[in-house]
Amino acid sequence: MNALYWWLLLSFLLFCIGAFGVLARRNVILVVMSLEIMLNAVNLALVATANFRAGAKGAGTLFALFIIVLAAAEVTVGLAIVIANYRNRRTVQTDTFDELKG
Amino acid sequence: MPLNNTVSVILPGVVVAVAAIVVFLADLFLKRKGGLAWIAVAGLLCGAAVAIGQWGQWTAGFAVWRVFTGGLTFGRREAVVGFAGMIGHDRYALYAVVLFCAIGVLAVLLSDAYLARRQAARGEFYGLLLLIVTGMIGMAISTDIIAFFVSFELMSLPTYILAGYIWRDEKSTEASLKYFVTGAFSSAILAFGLALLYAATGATTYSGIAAGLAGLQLNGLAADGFLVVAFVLVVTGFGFKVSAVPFHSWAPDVYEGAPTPVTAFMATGVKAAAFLGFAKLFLMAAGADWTHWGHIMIILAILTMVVGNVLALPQRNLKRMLAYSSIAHAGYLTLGIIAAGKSGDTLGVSAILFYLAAYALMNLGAFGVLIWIRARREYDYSLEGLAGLGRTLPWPAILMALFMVSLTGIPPTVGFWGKFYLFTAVIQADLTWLAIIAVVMSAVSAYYYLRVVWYMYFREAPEGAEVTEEVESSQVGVITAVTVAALGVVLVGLFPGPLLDAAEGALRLLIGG
Repeated sequence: MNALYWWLLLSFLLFCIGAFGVLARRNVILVVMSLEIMLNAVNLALVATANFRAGAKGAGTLFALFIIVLAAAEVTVGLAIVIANYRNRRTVQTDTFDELKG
Repeated sequence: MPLNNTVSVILPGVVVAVAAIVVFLADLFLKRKGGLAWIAVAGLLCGAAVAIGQWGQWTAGFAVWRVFTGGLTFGRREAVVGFAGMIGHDRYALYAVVLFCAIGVLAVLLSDAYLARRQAARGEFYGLLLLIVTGMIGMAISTDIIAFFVSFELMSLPTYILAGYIWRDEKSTEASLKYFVTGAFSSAILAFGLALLYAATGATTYSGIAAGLAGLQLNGLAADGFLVVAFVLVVTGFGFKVSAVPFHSWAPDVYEGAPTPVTAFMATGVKAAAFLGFAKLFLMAAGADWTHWGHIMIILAILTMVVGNVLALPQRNLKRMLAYSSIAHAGYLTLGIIAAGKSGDTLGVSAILFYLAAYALMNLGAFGVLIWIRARREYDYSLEGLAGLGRTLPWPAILMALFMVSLTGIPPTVGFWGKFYLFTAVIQADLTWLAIIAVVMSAVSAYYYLRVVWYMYFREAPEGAEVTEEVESSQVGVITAVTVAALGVVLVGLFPGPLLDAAEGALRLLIGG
């Protein structure tokens, strides 16, 4: 159980790094990369739990596999959306997206 | 578990997913794209028909009672389970399937003429719409956090695409990007919360998590802080998806920029699925742990009701106004989960089921009227643009007035009964003060809803607001959808009995059943 806490702490740090990237970055490509870091932090937590926790069985590994697939799908959709935006306004800096407000 | 039973557990979802694939394939071969809408509608109707046919076979799952520990538990956890306990099918899920399919049908009817006018491809649109409905059904039938999260993403990803579907329109793609970034961020937060729940309990099924949490409680609360973090993360993911304050900032922008039929679908279908899926997760997996998530939810609900209603007051754009109104309604609906969690009664969840159906009818109707007006003349979705509508376009005006009255919650419309049952459930859970806040905030909401009626009937139409375009035959879909929604609002408003019976029957424990 003790080892698990350290792994969860590590994954939480990784998660925070990713979350900071999503909030602080102004380039959408870097935001998408930070999202991937967050999802990989989740994978680390799941795999560590499946390995170290008594009675956890393999469900965590299975969940991690699903999240890898979902992350790939998410990046595909995300980059397509980024390209559509780039075609319309020739930039992917988030602070220029101010067409909609009020 | 015999194979045929396992398949029948996911049958409604399979029917809708197959319909999605048929639409994608038919798009390649059909020359006349008008037929695609009918394939999509037929697929959704088949899904709903399967669910209605299964209603008699399944006993009500998801019944709640207080156990001697003082916590909550769910009897008949999985009425019929399949796929190693990942999917549990019960009447709650069947009610959800019928609701989602009905919302899907109305959304398809609203979209067809709109897409033709914007010269957008229709095949992918309906295919993706059906995939979203499949994901929504998955959320309602999941009894495992893995299946839950996969369904959640299956619902979310096509929604990001649909929000930017008019890809030449700068507003639409901007809405799509904003929705994607906030949505993917919230998915990651939700996933981490679920991973922590798994780490705390060592189980991924709802029943396993419930047992694990009960075990933790018996062993003292060593993992208390840990669980609070896990629940804060899960509630955050929930808050983003249903646009609860303080996670609402994406909603007005996305609702304004997305194509109007997609906005209508997001505001009703995706929100309904998020509520039904998360209600099942919270109450089945963590019902006994109410203290850990209940108080966060109460703060969330109060903020959502107050901020949503107050920020709706100054809005002059109808799509933005309806976005804030949908935030406010998310606040009322959250009360249902809180009431069910606190009292351990099924009343709160029945009220959510009823309210979601009522809310879908009136909101789809309101957005449908906007599409209808936009098809008849130039219209920028502003409040001023509605001036004199009662004279220039009498039918859309009177239906819009009906939907606004219903959204306010004035009898004898369905909106009144929805709020009545919901607030009754809240009062029965000893949260009268919360119900008082909700009633006061609904009174505030009357200002911005009825202002629309005021503009339509008591303001003179500006110059050049005359009808410029003749009715095309292709408007039939929109008019049908709006009429169905209006009939639903009036008829269920006058005779709420059958729908209420269905909402209660979805949860009532059948003795010996």
